[in-house]
Amino acid sequence: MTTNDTTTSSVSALGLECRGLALSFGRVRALDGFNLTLTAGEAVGIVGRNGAGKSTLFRAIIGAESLERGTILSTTPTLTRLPLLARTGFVPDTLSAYDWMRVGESIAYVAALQPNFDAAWSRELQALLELDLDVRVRDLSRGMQARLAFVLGLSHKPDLVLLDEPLLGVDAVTHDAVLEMLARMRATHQCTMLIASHQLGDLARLTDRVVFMDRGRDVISINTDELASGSTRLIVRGLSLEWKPNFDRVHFRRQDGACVLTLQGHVEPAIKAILANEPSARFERVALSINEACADRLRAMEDRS
Amino acid sequence: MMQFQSQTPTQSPFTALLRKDIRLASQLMLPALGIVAALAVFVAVLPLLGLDAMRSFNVKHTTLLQRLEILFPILLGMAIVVPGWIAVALTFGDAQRRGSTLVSMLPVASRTKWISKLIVAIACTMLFTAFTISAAYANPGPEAFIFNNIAWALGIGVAVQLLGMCSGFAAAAFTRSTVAAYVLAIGLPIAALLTIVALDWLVGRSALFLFTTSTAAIRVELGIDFDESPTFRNWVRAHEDLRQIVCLVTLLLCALFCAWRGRGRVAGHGDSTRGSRRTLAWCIATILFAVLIVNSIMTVQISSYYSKLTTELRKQGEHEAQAQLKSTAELVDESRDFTRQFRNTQQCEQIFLYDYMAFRSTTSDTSFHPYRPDEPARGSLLDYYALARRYETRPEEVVVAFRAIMHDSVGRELDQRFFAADNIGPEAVIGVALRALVDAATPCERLFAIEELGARIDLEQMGLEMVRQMAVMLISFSDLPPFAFRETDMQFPTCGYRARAIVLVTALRRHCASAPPRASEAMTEALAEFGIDDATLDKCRAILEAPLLESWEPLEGKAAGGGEHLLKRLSQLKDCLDCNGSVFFKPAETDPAYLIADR
Repeated sequence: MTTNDTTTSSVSALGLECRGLALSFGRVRALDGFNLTLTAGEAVGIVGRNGAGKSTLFRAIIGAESLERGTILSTTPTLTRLPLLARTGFVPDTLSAYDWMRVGESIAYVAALQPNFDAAWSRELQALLELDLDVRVRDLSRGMQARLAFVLGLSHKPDLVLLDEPLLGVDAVTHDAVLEMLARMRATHQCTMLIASHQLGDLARLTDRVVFMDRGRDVISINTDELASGSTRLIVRGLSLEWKPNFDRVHFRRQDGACVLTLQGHVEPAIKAILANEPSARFERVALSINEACADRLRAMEDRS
Repeated sequence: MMQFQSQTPTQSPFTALLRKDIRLASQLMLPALGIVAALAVFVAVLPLLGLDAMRSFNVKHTTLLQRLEILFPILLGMAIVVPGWIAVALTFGDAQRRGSTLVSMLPVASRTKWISKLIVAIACTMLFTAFTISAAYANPGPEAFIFNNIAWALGIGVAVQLLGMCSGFAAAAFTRSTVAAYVLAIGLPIAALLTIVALDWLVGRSALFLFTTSTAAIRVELGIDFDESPTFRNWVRAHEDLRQIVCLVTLLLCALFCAWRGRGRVAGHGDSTRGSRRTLAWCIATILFAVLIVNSIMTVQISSYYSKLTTELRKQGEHEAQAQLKSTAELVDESRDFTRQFRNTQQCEQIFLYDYMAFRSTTSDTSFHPYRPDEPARGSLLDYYALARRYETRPEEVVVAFRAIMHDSVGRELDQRFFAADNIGPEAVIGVALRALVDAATPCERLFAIEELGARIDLEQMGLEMVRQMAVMLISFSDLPPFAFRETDMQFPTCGYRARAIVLVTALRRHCASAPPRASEAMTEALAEFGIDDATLDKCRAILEAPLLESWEPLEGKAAGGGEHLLKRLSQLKDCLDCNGSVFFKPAETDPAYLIADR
């Protein structure tokens, strides 16, 4: 085995295509016909509620889970398993390291087994993330574990980066630094990224589009730019209890006696026309944050299913 | 603090894996070794706790090495459990999900990972094997500590622990849950054992069974009585079906499991894992298919065999049914022609050429052959069997018929008379044999009578086992005078029967004289029934004393055509039979009553 002491860059980024992935754990269907096309160099966010199957998707991509059905193809189909893994970097939601090892030992262990390990880049990451190499993994805090996961998963400058809730527990300063590092990595290395996160702001900063996932299925894919701008919320008061809009792209719920309508796309004029027929109706328009927009979308997906 | 330079890989992937596995295993080995050490210390200090404590642990030895022997069962148990435990932990990485994820995300060949685990697990296995064997042989008792014992102990120890290790690896491969893997590590060896047993029954015994019981199956289908116990037959058949079903279902489940595990396709994994699972599924499916084909062919073959047998057995069944309708007198009359073994002179000569036992083993009890229309005597035999069966319902009537047969020395062959006497009792058989010995027209009949006589006396009290394996009733005598046979003659069954017949006749002579040894009243009655008195017994004794054949020339002529070995055999037999009966006894150890005075 050889170690690259200098920064290396791949000739081409890796794309990925997932078709009809299915996987169950007992009665729970973690993946249920999931589809996703990840073109080379693209950054895609995965959004879904807890238990939607995001982590299972990542584990299936790296081969840690055996699919019951479906195929995962890379854009370089001739790549066999080991070279593909050597070009893939995975940062899981919980640290993948032996808790009885020290931090330095863990990195050395990965260095021995990862043929594309880039020592200089790894040192840069360690410095950025301020890791204490002499501490045992089991003694690391949640945030420090997340930092170590970055070093273990990205020290070989992968062409395909898989990030599963990577910044849980990380402090705000490091959070910003990591986002900056990932953005820089993508710009310079042109790697492909698949990121699962509940932090929609992070996704907006890093990704080109976001795929919403619900109960193992891909529901909708939206460009990140449209994520917040495409949604509007109307809070309507003075309507009867029986009143309910009958629109496909409107999510409706009652809150404190008012009707809360989340509108997706250009349905606002139509809704307003309907409300004009309700003389007692008074409404106000609320600008949504990206997190609120996504939360409403997730609620809408759940209601539909 | 560790320096960054330490992360520069100075070790190969395999070394890194091996070091990691050793460190992981050592974490698990430490508690196990701690338990062993604690037990050893406990055994060491046990004498300090007093005699009562030693007795309560059943420790009788005084030296430390001797006391260590009591640890054997504990160490044996640990030898099975610990390798399995380590195997599960190694497979899971560190018994947590994060370890297994790390292994999955690194580009290391599966075989490299497995070889590393295997080496570590085998090392642990060998360590506990050494402990177990040491404990077993710590006590230098009267048994020699020889190489064979060590080899056996090593073999068994390693095999037992490999079982634990393999089941541990397999269990971890089957489940995502660590607890379930540990449970499976225990359950898998049992499941594997059951599968092997089921496979054995499928590919081996079932085919054999189908062939061997085909006749029985047809008979049952045709409603014909079967000589064997139907309960046993049904039990075997029922369990045979069950075993086949268990085996087929097991194999089918294995194939389905493999196919299920090999369904999805992950990029780049193209797929050695998926491919191997699918291959395994195909292999199992092919085996199942092949077994079904072979079974089908066998069934067709058996069907053809059945169709031939069915006609014959149906005729036999019809004959048996008709025989049941006949009166006892008719059965007695129509069973006149049946015979068991002495059919013609040629066969009798064969007896002499090949000696009794060899001949009988190939010709006796021909009843298991199916009914053959071209063999007239078979019909007669079936009538005779019907007569014997009637004994169960109308014994008085049949006994009268049997008595008539056994006394009918003119109308019935000797073989039939013995068969009839056999249904009445051993005393009757002896009566028929003694009468036949005196009245025999041919050497064959005489030989037959001698065999029956020799086989009917119980010499177990004299340290001699039964001459033949057939279950026959024997006559016992109390206080037989001492005797000893010459061993060289006893290698020929014919000589053995003749010598034993001499003992029987001598004992009967003393029995009749009311001198020890005595047999039962039934024996006295039987002798009276056949008109056997002292003079007859003396005559029998004289016949037994004389050489069996007057001339060996005809036999020698036939043996000459049969090869050198036959001539040699006949020569030995001639040496044995062409002499006086008293020669069979060792004079110094034999009571004079057995010997002829003018010998």
